Amino acid sequence: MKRKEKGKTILIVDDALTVRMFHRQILEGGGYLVEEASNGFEALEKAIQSSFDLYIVDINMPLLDGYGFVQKLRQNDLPQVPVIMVSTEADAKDRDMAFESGANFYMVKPVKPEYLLKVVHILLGEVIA
Amino acid sequence: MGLIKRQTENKSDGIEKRSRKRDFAGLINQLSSSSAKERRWAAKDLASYPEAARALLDRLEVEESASVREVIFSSLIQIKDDVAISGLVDLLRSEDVSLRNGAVEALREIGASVGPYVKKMLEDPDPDVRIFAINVMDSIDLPEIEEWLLNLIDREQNVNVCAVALEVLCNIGTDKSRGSIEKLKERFKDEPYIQYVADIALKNID
Amino acid sequence: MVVKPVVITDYDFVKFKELFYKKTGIKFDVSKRYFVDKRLVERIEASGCSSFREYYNLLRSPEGMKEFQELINVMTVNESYFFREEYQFKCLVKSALPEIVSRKKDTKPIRFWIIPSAAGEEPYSIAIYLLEKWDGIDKWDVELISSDIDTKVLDQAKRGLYSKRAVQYVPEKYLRKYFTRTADGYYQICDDLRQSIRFTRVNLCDPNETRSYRDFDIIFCRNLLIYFDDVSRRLAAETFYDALKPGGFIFLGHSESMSRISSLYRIRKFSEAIIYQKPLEEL
Repeated sequence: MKRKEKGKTILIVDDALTVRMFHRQILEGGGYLVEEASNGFEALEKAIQSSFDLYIVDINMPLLDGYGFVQKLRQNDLPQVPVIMVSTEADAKDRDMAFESGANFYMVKPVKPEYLLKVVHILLGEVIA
Repeated sequence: MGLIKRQTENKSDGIEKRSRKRDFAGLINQLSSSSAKERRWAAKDLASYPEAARALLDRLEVEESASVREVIFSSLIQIKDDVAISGLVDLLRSEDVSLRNGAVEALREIGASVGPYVKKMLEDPDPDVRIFAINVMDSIDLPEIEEWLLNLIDREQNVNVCAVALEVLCNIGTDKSRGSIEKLKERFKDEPYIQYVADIALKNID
Repeated sequence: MVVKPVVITDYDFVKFKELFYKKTGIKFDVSKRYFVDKRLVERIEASGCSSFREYYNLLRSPEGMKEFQELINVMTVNESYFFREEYQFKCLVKSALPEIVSRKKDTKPIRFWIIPSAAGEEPYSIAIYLLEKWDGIDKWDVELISSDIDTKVLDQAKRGLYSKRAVQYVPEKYLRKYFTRTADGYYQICDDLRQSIRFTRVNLCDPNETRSYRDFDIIFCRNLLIYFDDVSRRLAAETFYDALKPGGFIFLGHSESMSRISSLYRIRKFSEAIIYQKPLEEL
């Protein structure tokens, strides 16, 4: 068993304040540092200013939606870290679009805490006990 | 080389004014020009013609330039008549994410007068459309919204629609909301997120 | 009757922070919590509201426009002075201008639009900075246009007379070079600089007035959009888009961001600052 490396930073991108608060609580509980952005453009600004280890991104947001954000992130000269896309839609079309835009994982809302943490661990390459 | 000097103190400011008369028919024509710049200017100038709403909405459906789309939304926000608002509300059903999000944003900026139009969308069979309608309500200031949302969550089956309604009730919920929120908590006992938001909403009522 | 003291909870703070950001583009971080809470409670009480909730709803309503203005005034320090937020001028001469010059294929002047002009502190600072800190000034012509909606401040700008306070950050040698001391202790900017800036009156939200403002390489619009409502801010961002050449840069105030206004601009990070750029290809 390898202990999870502490201090990795995750950017939560969602226009709903309570979703961000909820995800923050889960992730901080898992020992991660958390930052927030409320739309894709703001997230991009943050991504350019500081580095993150993973992004959790909602699809429907004003100004720049989740797909647009991930596309820009992938085109930019930025560290290519994992992206989890979160959507209210269970249908296959959204999932395909998420992957096409460059996401690594697709999750349907509402998110279950243990599941979210497990996916984050896996994407960050951390061995779980 | 260096800083260019003004010739004399009282000369005109040197920025040439455009005076070509821009008539309605001409502007409508330019909306389909092959130059994005020309389309953008036409869309901008059409903001002062209420009768342009239909043409702007039609253009929006086929317009591919993001900058032109943004200007069209701005002009519709300024026109904000029945045609403009109804057209924007219809876009909540669009498959195109950026169009849909643009419409949500535009409706929010128009404000309270869109209330009755979005209310109808709470009946839409597509849960996502109901979510977008609630997203709009989140930013407009209208006392009836609490009542509408309570009626909705009392019978809504989709967990995400309920979640988004609760997010709004966190901000506007009054004593009236307490019963419905508690019932919802009970119905979605196994959803941690619903429990989480419902608790915030209840706490904010106190 | 006991009056409940107004308390700002964590949730309230975040909610307020979001609303203020959305409406003004100004970000507060947690370190400003005390500052923000204190002024917020002041305004809640002054406005006759009894709770944060009530006040928040007032701010969101059309009736709350006036109160919002009051709030902006207490939350921001709106004072113009020379060399304000100087790191942006550094970014201008070290990063933005070299990039523009390297792309330039003609010998036409490099054009600046500085809005608001206010009483002239901003455009004159830029003029001095260009003359003193940018070696490209020997090779290129520069055209400076500065606008404001307020004709009173435009007159002051053209006149160019400043208090000691306004010039406190101007290095002594520039003071001597570009200003003369008046008998009553004011600082008069020299005629050479006064003639280098074209001052114009313009309403940023009226397309008929802004139509002819085009082909700019650089726009400075610092601490203005915060005073605009949502729609005006949108219109202003669109106006700048049309006014800039492809690849042109726009500088906003240091706590302002384009991220709540428009997604049309590219975000560019330079070592001195983050600025926004109109894409080289039409979006």
